[in-house]
Amino acid sequence: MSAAYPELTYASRRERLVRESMFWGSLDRLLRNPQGFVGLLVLGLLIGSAIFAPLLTWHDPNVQDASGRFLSPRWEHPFGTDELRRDLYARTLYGLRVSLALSLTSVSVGATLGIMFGFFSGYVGGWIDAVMMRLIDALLAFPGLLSALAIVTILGPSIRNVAIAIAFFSVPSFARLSRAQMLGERNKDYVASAEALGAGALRIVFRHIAPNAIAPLLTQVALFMASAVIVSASLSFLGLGERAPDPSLGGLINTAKSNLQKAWWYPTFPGLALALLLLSLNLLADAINDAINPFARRRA
Amino acid sequence: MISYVAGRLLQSVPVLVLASMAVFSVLRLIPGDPADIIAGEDASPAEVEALREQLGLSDPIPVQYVKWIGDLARGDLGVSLRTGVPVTELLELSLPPTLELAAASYAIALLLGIPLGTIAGVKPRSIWDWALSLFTIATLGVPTFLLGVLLLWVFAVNLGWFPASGRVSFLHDPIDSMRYLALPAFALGTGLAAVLARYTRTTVQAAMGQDYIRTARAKGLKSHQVIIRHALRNSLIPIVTIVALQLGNIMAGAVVIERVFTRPGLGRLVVDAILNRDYIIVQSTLIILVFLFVTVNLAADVAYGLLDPRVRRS
Repeated sequence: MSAAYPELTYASRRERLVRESMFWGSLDRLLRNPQGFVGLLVLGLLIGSAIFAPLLTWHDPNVQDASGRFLSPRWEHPFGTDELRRDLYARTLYGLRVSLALSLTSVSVGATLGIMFGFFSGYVGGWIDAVMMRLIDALLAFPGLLSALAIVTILGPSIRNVAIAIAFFSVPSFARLSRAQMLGERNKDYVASAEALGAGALRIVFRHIAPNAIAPLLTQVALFMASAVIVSASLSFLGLGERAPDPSLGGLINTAKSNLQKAWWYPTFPGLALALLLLSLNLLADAINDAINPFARRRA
Repeated sequence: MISYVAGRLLQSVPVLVLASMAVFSVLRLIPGDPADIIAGEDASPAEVEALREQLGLSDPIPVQYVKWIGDLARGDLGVSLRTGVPVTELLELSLPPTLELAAASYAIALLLGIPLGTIAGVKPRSIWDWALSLFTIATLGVPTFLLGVLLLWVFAVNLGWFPASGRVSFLHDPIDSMRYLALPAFALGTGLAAVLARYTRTTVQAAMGQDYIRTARAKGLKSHQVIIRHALRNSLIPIVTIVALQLGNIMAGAVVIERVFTRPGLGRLVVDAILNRDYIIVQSTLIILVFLFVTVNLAADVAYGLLDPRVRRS
């Protein structure tokens, strides 16, 4: 008797991967989505120029070596110069570097802690879960920027402390979301079968549940990176971030504010860099969401 | 209805207690001895000791917390460590300009967001719907302070239509006050307008397909009556939720926007206090904001009960 089910055949190894692997399938959908493609491309370019900033610039961002103050954009200084004869192109690129490094590290730390917290709370359940979630509720009563202000008050204004503040305020949201994911997966059959086979709690959570629960958290990571960029830029704008003379996008826009009549290029280029960074992160968040849930409708 | 309100009131107690503990710990979490840090490097040991007594730092932590809550309940928010001025006096000066700004921003957000969301929801895929998408994308890319700087640049510095800095009290001269408020409130309100418009669009669009809308039309009601009385009513709950939940963001945004437009208010008070390590001001302002936040969320919960009888019964 012949097989009841025909063997699945694929045209190429690539197609097999895209059809059968959740990761490659999602990546394929992400790149086919114009939003995802543009978001990833712009973000890639920004990350590239931040990493290779020393190779892409020919002036030191902190050295006052231009031939004049407030020079308009020209070949030697593509973004013009500032009030202290410094190259704004170099300062913008190095400022971008700070924004990216800061949001990347702080959100990864905050997300990891939050996910651990949420997974633990959701897996254990009972009164421990109840107590942990009330704690999260209380933390969520503080909006991001305000808790960042409180933490900067405790630790003193500096770039490292801004990063700690952002990591801290991303914990409760990730904890909430990952706990909800954990509750959704906790009682499924594959978890019961892993338990029956004698797998330990850590193995069940990280090898079995996590791969199924992690997808929606990725969208959250992209969204929180955007809000980390906003909060860090706002704190720098208030003068609570990096110390002079180091540049940051928020700090550059703050000084530009006092020189609006003298130099149109001063707020324009750092502002554009900030807007592009935020737009690409938001486009990417939307596209990740669509790629992971191909059947779900777009965000309202 | 009374038992519903009482239940909600009871639920906000643990949140308030935990949040007040978090604010309380701000001063105690400073690395090192807070009295040492506050007194400065060249203070004598006797001065540090006096300050520790004044701040009550030598008591056990639970005693300090209870004392602090007791002071708060009596309306005593402490005194500034730098100037000795009571924090209540500082807040009396700083809170009104910020509340004024927050109210104006909410007004702009509602006046801009709800009509745009309603039109886009009634006519999906129209030019209005497209305009809403563009508006949303723009607000996601431009943070509040950047929009503030842009508005300042175009409308105050270049065109000179609005003042670039300062504030006039609304109670003193409403018309002049609005000239000073226009740009900061617009900078702060547009982001919220986009959020409100998206939710309004979704709920209105969903409502337009319902049977009761067809019934209302069949009764011969005019189109605008159907939309405003029947379709838009469904959007009220998400709108109330967002208005309440966004209060924290609006207050935090106000702190930044006040800096852009050099407006007096909570922003200047808090940022100066952080830079001067005047911890008592920060602590008291935070607890006031948390209290405001919890109260507004409670009011929103009560409003659901009034707007939708189903919420009351569940």
